[in-house]
Formats: sequence, structure tokens, C-alpha cells
Amino acid sequence: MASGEKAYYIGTDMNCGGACLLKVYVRDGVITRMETDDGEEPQLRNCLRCRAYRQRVYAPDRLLYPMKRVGERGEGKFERISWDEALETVASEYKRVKETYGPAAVVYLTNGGDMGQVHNTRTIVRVFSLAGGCTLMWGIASNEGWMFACQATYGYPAGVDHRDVINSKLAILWGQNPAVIIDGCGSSFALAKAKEAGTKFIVVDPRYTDTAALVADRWIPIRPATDTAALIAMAYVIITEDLHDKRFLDTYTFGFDRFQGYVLGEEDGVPKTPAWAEGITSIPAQTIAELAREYATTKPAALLPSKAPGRTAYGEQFHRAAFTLAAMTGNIGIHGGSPGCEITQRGTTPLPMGSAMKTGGNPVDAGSPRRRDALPTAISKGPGLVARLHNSEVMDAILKGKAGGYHSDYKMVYTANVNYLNQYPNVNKAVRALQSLEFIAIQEQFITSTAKFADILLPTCTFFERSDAVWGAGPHLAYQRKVIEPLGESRSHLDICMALAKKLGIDNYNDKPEEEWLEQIMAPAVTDYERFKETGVEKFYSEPSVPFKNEIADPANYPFPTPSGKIEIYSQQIAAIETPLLPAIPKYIEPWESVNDPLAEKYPLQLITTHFKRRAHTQFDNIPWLRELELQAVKLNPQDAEPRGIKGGDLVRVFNDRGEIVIPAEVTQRIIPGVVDVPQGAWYDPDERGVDRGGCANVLTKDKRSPGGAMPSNSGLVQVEKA
Amino acid sequence: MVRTREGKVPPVATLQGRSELAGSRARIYRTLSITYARPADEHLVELLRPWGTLETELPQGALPEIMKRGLRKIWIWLERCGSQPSEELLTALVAEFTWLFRGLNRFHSPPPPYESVYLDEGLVYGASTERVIQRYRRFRLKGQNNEPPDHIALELDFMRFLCEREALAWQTEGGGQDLLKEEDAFLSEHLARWAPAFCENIRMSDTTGFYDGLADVTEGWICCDQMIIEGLTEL
Repeated sequence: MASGEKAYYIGTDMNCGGACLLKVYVRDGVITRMETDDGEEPQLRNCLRCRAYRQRVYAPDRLLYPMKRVGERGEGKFERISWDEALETVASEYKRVKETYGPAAVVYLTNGGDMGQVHNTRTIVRVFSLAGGCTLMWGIASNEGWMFACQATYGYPAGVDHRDVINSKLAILWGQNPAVIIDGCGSSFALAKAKEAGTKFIVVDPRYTDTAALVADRWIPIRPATDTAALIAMAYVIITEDLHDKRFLDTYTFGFDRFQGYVLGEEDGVPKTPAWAEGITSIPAQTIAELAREYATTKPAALLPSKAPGRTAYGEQFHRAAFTLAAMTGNIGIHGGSPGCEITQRGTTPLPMGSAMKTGGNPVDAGSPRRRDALPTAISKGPGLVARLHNSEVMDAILKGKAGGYHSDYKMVYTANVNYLNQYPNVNKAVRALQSLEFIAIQEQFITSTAKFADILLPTCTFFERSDAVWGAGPHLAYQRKVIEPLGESRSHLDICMALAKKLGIDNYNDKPEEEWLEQIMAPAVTDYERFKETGVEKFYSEPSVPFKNEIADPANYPFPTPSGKIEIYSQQIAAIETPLLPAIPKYIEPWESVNDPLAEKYPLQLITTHFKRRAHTQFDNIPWLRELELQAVKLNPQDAEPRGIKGGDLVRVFNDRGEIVIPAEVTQRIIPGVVDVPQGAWYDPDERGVDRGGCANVLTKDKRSPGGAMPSNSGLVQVEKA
Repeated sequence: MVRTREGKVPPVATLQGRSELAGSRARIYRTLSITYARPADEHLVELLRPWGTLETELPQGALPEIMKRGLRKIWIWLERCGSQPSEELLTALVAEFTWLFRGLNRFHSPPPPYESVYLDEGLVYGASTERVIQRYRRFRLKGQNNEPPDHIALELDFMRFLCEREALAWQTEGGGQDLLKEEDAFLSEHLARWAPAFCENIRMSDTTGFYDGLADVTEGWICCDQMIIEGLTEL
């Protein structure tokens, strides 16, 4: 270590779920370099993204001063103003819009850009709640379909501990790609260890992913958005060959008979055979049958369906079917099994943290009835309100307002922790919506594709410039010590919100400094708070957790929190909603923009929008080291490239009725014919003709939500042509 | 860094002359520093007025062609203003300033004017920043709060500081040679290493004509001042 350099261990807070540990060297108030956890095993080592974080802290394009728009909205022309003027403007615009149109006319858009315990999106929700209210979103972009399915089937969400996969004889990774997405620091390392110890891995995915390359004994390619059909056909084989665990089904589940009837074709005259599924999924019937038998007869076996196949039209059915298969094979509540959920521990391992800042109750929510198609569960309480806008419908709502059947007209948008324009479906429509608003204020670290549309920009600092704590998707907690002063005039979320609250005339916004909040929240959850701050981490490395262990071991005392107290294959709560596209049992419903859609004549290729190795969604897209690794390119199979005269590296147009992007092509066998992959998160960058040259996948996606709330980013059709 | 020799600068012999020259040079640095520190305001015309007689304040033939070109571009622009720039013109300047000097967009706007961004892998607070801090420290100067000290406005202001000290030194301590050495070192090790690339970026991106001219003046002045210093130290 150079003289005067001090090293600190700092947890990272991307919403990749890692919360991995950086080792940060600081000298004279400047971060000189970053390494990673070099402490006791198991180490929480960062991937390439956070290793490049120094390039982000000291990026030349960081937003360091409050800005005000000059020129047309979206032009990207700003002038620097003081914090006082910026906050005064935001406060007075909020008041004006509230008084003229009502508080519901103010929409707060957010996501997981910063996952700290103190400096997170709640700080902003509290400001608006105390100021009079605002319209909030519902629908977790990552996994709302899964969330819906969990609530309906099990009563609450759960995930598989990656440390438990070593106990599985067979693990089926259905669309999950931990080698790229992380979602639990050390998840792909755990898979590698499991493979070494003898676990057999089958990967079901339209692509031969990095995870497949790492562990797969077999790769089963599948058409996107057809996964439910494959699972249901597997159920057919398991039922007709009498391989299901009847004792488990009788003891722990409710409504299996209804599902069985549907699968056998008693309901609609169509037996859901492997041959039936072959036509839909393009997986050979024989393969489906083999997979079913193997899954049903290997014990314990872990079916690990990722959220990606659930981010499709009717994606909630995929998760419902996976849970049902897990129940049919009795793999729930045991080591080495899986309740049909993916590897993740986010929100699933209860930790006795102290209470965090409360949002204070949003008046707009308080005045709102429930949606007819919302599940009546505790988790759905807020999201189930009519006043909330689904993440895929926000822009339509802004454009149409009450005339379009929405709860309110919408005139103002405030965003933090999200690059909204970039990451939600139908960017061109979103641009029109943002242009129609009266006022837009954005909290950001960079002038992103969304931030370009701001009227007021508020600079947020990075996590090295304030203190916080993070809990990722793995069994550890990390401390984030502030190691440098905020650059320029950037501020933490809490500081921004305290100042904004003052401008809004709120006097009870916050009574605790950051350090006090941290101690209140974190001290109860760690063994020694001072040591936690010193070392930067608390690792929980006892037994791997097993979801629903208690419910299976002791059903009398631990019923599932469902109406029947059991795993509801037939969900009574869904049945009560009475919507044909939300069947009470898992069903395959033909998705929109599938290969059978008439649109396929014009746009014959199915689009998937996968996670990209060198980004965490849109974060890091502008970081040079990471940009060197891989071009933002559309991946397509040689069978689709050749007839189009496309070679690797050629610039191509990817387009449909919603928009057009122009990016290089990568021709590869690692994706099946008929499917193209535009990795999500590249920053939208339109040229003079409105054609996106950045490669933003959501220029192409459809802004229509699945009935259960899934965001269908993997259901879409496009055409590709040489540019 | 190659200095274009446009003819040797005649030396200034008297102490009084050198002191006045240092004062003129300090004022030029000061004006430049202000134009990069913040967007133009209604005092712009006043601020630039002294540049009308620049040629008379400097040794004969000292002004390089590029600087003359830059001054001409600025005069043309000022003529359009009249005696007072309009609200519209100022707003356009403010927008341009932010676009050119705040690094708003990595791929479309010029990099922000920090030495470290130009010389150390495109990041702020790089190794160059550290060296600049060391130089300031020798004169017990600190940067501004939270602003990297290698911003062009601050580096130009440091040159102003040195020139003012030098002006005083010729009158009192009997010699400004040490300060001339310091100025020469700062220019050759810092400002002159990155200013040309910075100025080229401004010329390529500016749409007002004003900052285009300013870039010419900046690049020309740094070169010119290096030659003036060379002339003075040869004595």
C-alpha cells in the first residue's frame, strides 16, 4: 500500500442483488484504486461492474450541480443554478400542480437504482406523502408476475439459497443466468461447486448462456414466452405416468384435481401432451417427456425458474405452473429442493433489522379504491389500489389521463433511482408522454436518457460520498462507509429530501441524522455494530436456508398464509377476481406477439431483452472500461443472419411498429433461430430522424401489462435488416 | 509540446517595464479565468473591453496569429451585441457554456475542462490533479470546496496569481526570476500540455462563435506567454 493510503471495505448497492464487498483505497480524500474482498472465505467478490466503479465516481460526465433546462425539453441544454433555486422551483411546481389538478396529478417514478437502507426511494415517497400525496407506481419490473404467483399460491414470496444447490441431485436452471446477473454474491460460484460435487444441471433457455457454459450438462433451447406450455406438458407426463407425489399433494396442496383435469384435456378437449407443447415451444416432445421423468424421479431436484420467462405476456402463469410442478414432485421445504422459485434470497431471509424511515401514508393512496384484479393480500395492499399506475401503463396514463379511464390526469413527474424512459416499454411513446407534461424534476448522477427531459436536475452523490448499509440477495449485510466528500454540489438522497421537505413547508420530515438511522436499523441485525462498521460486513454462514421449511415440517402449526392454509394450485383468491385471463389454475395462454400472431408476417423474429454483463440495467453503460468488453449488439442465429445478408459486425436495423434501433449485429449459434436478443439497459440515443443509435431495447417493446402485473419485456416481435 | 516560433519576442529591459508587463499578463489571465469559471453575464462587454488594446500592452510582435484570429472572432461577436448583449444572446451563451464546459454527455458534448480528464484516462481527481494540488500548496493556496483544482479556470487563475506576485517582485524584492521559473514550469508541465486539445474541442463544438474565438485566444495566449517568459529569462 502506498504511503498515506487507507483501505476500507464497502458494500455495493446495485439492484443486481450482489451487495458485494469492494476494498477501496483512499489517500488525501481521493479514491486511488479499488479491489475486492480479500478476507475470510466465503469471499464476497465483486464482478467487473463494481470493479470499474472508480471510473464512475470520477466520471467526467457526472452530474455535479443542480441544473435548469434552457431550450426545448429533451434537447439536453441546461444551465447551472443553485440548490436553493432548484428546490424552490420543484416545491412551487408541486404546490401549483397539486392545487390546480390535485395531488394525484404528480407522479413519482422510481426503481432500484440505489438499494441502501437509509438513502433509498422511501425518502422521496415520504416527502410527497407529507406534502399532500402523489401517484405511485405498482408492479415490480423484475418480477411482478412471480410476486403475483407467490401470493396466490404460497401466500408469500420465497427464494432458493444458492448454498443449498449443492444438495440437489438435479438442478434445472430455467432461464436463470447467475453468471451474468449475480442476484446473490457468489451464486454462480455456488453452482460451480455444486457441479463439482455431482449435481446435474439442465439449462432451459433460448440462449446458451454463460451459466450454461459454466455448469450445464444439457441445454434445452426453447422459444421465448412458451415456457408455461413446456411445464404443463411436463405435468401431463408426470400425471399419466403416475410419477407425482400423491402424499405430498394430499397433505399440502389445494385444488390439484382441477389442474389435473385441465392438463388431461377434460376441460377444453385438448390434452396437454408433449406433442402439443412441441408445436408451441419447439422443444421435441421426446425431450419434454425425458425432462419430466428425470425431474419427477430424481430426489431431491431443484426446479429454478428465473424471473425472465415470467416477464412475458401471461408470465404469471409460468410461475404458477412451476410451483405446481414443484408440489407434484414433493420438492418443497427440503434441502436440495426448490418450491419452483429461482436462486435468490432477497426479501426471503428474515433479518431483525430495526425500523427504517416510514413513508408517512400517501393521501392519494388513502383515497383510492382497490383494483378489481388485485389479489387481496397484505403485500398487494398498496399496489392493489386503483390510484397506482402499473409500470407499463404510466406513459399511456400520462397521455390519456381520465379520458383514457385512468384515475387522474397527470401533469408532473419526479424521478429518482431510475432511468425510466429507458427501461420501460415503448420509448417513443414515453418521449411523447414526457413532452406533454407541465413539469419534470429528476434526481440523478448522470444526465441519462431520461434526465435529458428534465426541467430541473438534482445531483445525487455516489455511495462512497455518504454512509448507508445494504442487504443484497445473499446471506450477508454490508456497511457503506462514507470515504470521500460529495463531489461538486452533489448530495445524498436524505439531504436532498430534507431540503426539499423544508421548501414544501414540512416540519416533521426527519429528526435523525444519517448515522442515527443506520444504528437504529442495523444494530439489531448484527452481532456487533461497531465491528460491523469497521469491517464493513456481517456474514451469515450457518445452514443454507430452505424456503417453506416450517410449513412442510409442521403444517398444523405453520399453515401457508392462503385461504385454505395450503399450497393453492387452484387459487381461491384468483378465482374471486373472475377474469378469464387470470385462471384460477395455471394455464397456458397464447401470448400476444408470439409466432402465431398475424403480426409475425411483418415482424417474424421474437425479441428477448436480456441482462447484459457489463451493465447493471442502465448503470455503467457510460463507463469506458466496461464498454471495451462487448459492443451493444443484437444477437442472432446464422440461420436468420444469412438470408438477410448479415455478417457479424454489420450495422443492422431492428424495428417494428413501435420504433427502430440501429446497432451492430453479433451472429452466434448461442441463440436459437427465430429469436433475437437486444440486451436491455443501453442508453436511448436518438439521431435527427428519431432512430435510436444507442440500442435501447425498449424502443421495441410493447407497453401492455400482463393481467397479473408482469412486465412483458420478453414478449415482442421485430424484423432485422442490414442498415 | 511544440512551440511555434513566430519571431523572437524582444526582451523588456527595465524592472518597471517588466513589472508592468507582468501586470498586463496577470489581467489577461484573469479575464480568461473568469470566462471559463462561469457563464457570461451582462458585464461581458466591459470584461473584454481591455482586449481591444492588448497589442499595445505586450512586447512588439508578441501576439501570435492564432490569438489575433481569436480576438477578431470575439470582436465580430461583440459587434453583434452592441453596447449591451441582449437577453436572448446571453441565454444562448449560458446554454452553450453549460454544454461546452459541464461535460453533460460523454458521447456528444466535449469533456469538462479538467487537466486530469485530458491527461489521466478521462477521469477527474487523477494523478495530474494531485500534482497541481502540490504546486498550489507551495504558495499556500487551496482549491475551492469540492471543485477539482485542475479546472481550466483555476489553473488560469493560478497563473494570474503568479504574475501578480511577479509584478510586485520586480518592484520590491529586486527580481521576479524565481516566479518566472515557476510560471514557466506550470505552463510547460500543466496548462500547455492539455490546453491545445481542450481548445480544439471547443472550436469543434461551439455554435455561438464566441467560444470559438475564446479558444483561439486561450491557446494563442498560452503559447505567447511561454515565449514572453523565455524572452524575459534570457536576459
